[in-house]
Amino acid sequence: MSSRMMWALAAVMVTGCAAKGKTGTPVTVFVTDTEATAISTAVIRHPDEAERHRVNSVDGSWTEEVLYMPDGSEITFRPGEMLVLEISAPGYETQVIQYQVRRRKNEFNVQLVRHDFDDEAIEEPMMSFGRDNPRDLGGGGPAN
Amino acid sequence: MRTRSLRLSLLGLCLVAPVALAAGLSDYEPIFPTNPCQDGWAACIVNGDSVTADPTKDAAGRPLPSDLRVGWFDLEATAALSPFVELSAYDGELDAPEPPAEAPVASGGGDGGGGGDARPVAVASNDGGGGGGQASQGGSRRDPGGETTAPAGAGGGATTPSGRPMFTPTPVGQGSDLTATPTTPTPVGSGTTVAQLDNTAAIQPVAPPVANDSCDDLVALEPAALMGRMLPGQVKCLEGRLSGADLQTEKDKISRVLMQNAEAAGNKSEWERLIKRHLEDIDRSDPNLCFKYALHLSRGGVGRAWGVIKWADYALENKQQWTGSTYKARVNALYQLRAEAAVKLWEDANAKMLAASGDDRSKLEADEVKLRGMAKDYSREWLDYARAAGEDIKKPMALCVSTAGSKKFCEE
Repeated sequence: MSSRMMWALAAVMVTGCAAKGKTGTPVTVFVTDTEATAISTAVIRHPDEAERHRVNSVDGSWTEEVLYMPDGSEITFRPGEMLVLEISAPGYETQVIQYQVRRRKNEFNVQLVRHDFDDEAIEEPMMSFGRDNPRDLGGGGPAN
Repeated sequence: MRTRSLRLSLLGLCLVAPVALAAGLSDYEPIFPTNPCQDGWAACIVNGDSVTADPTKDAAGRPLPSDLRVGWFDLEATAALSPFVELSAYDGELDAPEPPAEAPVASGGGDGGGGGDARPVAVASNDGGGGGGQASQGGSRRDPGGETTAPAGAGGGATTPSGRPMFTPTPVGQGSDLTATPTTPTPVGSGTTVAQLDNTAAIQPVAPPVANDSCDDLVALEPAALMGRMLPGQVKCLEGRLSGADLQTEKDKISRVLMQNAEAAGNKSEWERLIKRHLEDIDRSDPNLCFKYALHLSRGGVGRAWGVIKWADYALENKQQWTGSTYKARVNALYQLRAEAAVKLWEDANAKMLAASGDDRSKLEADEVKLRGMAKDYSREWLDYARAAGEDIKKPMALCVSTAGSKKFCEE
C-alpha cells in the first residue's frame, strides 16, 4: 500500500515538473498556411508588446512561457489564464487568437490565409489617341 | 349676387365650349378614306360608278364612307364589298420604252395625269389624262407600309405601286357584282431592263486595292490601329516618323497609334515595349497610361513591384485629370496596387533574409525592416483613402493589420 502511494506521489511530482518551466507554463504555437505548410516568415506578438517574435523558420513553431511588456511588467503564462496573441506573416492576413493556458499540452496550430491580391477586378482605363484640342477663344470680349 | 354668378358661369361656358368642341381635320379622316378601293387604289370604277375618297350614298341617299363594305343603315353591299378583287388592270396603249439613260425610278409626281396632286390619287391614264376608263396609276401613292412610292416609267406604265412589273391578273369572283376587266398587260420596263443589261459592257474591271504603307494621316490610321490591323509597312513608316519627329506632341500622337495597334493585336510584349518607351522617353503626364502600365506590371512577379510603385506614383501625381467616380475608383485602385506591390517586396525580403546567414543576413534584416515600413505606410494610405472615399475597407484593413502587426495602428 505504501509502495503504491509512493509511486503515485512520484508520478505527480515528475509530471508537474515536466509541465512547468522555469517561470511559467510553456505554450507552443505552430503557424501554417491553409495547406498545413509551415510559414517560416510568421511573427507572433502580444497586443501590448513592442517586440515581435519570429517563429522557427523550419517548422513554423514558437514556444514561450513569459512575455516582457514595454513598461517592464511580465506576462507569465499560468494555467487558467487567457492569452491573447497576434500572429502575422508577410502576404498573409493577421489573426488575433485567444488561448486559455492549460496545465500541460499547450500546443496548438494557427492557420493563416493568404491575401487575395485580386487585380482582375480593377477596371483598366482606355487608351486614347492624341488629338489637338481646339484653342478656346472665349465667347466674351473685354470686361467692359 | 345669384345673377352675377350666373353670368360668370355663362361667360365661362362660352369661353370653354368652343375649345372643347373644336375639331381638327384629322377627326374627319374616317369619312374620307385615302384608299377606298379594295385593290388598294385611291380611286376605281366599280360597275360604272367611280369610287373615290368622297363619301358615297346608300339607296336612301344617306352619306357613307366610301370604304364601307356594307351600308350602315340597310346592310346592302356597297361597291367596296369584296376584299378579293385583284389590282385593276390597265388596258390602254403602252408608250414606247424610255431610254435607259434616265434613272430607273421616276420621281414622285411624274408626268402621268394628275401625278402632281398633293393627295395621292390614282388617275386613269389610258388617254394620258384623268378621264374615264379603268382606273390606273400615274402619280405617287401611299403603299401599305406607309412609304410613298412612285410608279416606274412615265406616261402611266403598268407596274405595281412598288415599281415591279405587273403580271396578268387572274379574275377572281366571277359571280360578283364587281367587274374589274382583266386584260393582259405587257410588262413595262422590260426594255429598260435590257438596256441596262447592255450597259454592263461598259463596266470596267476594277483593280484590287493596293496595300498602302503611307502613314501621313494619323487619323486615317486610327480605325486600323483600333482593330490591330495596321500593315507592317505602316508600322515601320510610323516608327520612322517617330524617330524623325521634332515635336514632342507629334511623337506622342504617333506613339499612341502604335501602342493601340499593338494592344488590339494582342501583342503584349510589343505593347509593353512601346508603352515603356512612351512613358520613359516621350510623355508620362497621362495618368491613364501610367495606371495602365502599373496595372500590367502588377500582374507580373515581385521583380516588377518597384515598377508598379513607380508608375502608380506618377499616375497619382496627375490624378486631378480624373473626375467624379472615375477619380475615386482609379485613385483607390492605384493605392491598392502600390500597397500590394510593397507587401510583395516585403515578403520577398523576408524570405531572402531567412535564407541568408552571416553578414548578409544582418544587411537583409535591415532591408526587411525598411520594406516592412514602406508596406505599412502604403497600406495605411490605402486604408485612409478608402475610408475617406467611402470605399470598401475590408481589404485595406487586412493589409494594414498584416503589415503593422497590430490592429491598433490601423484603427481610426
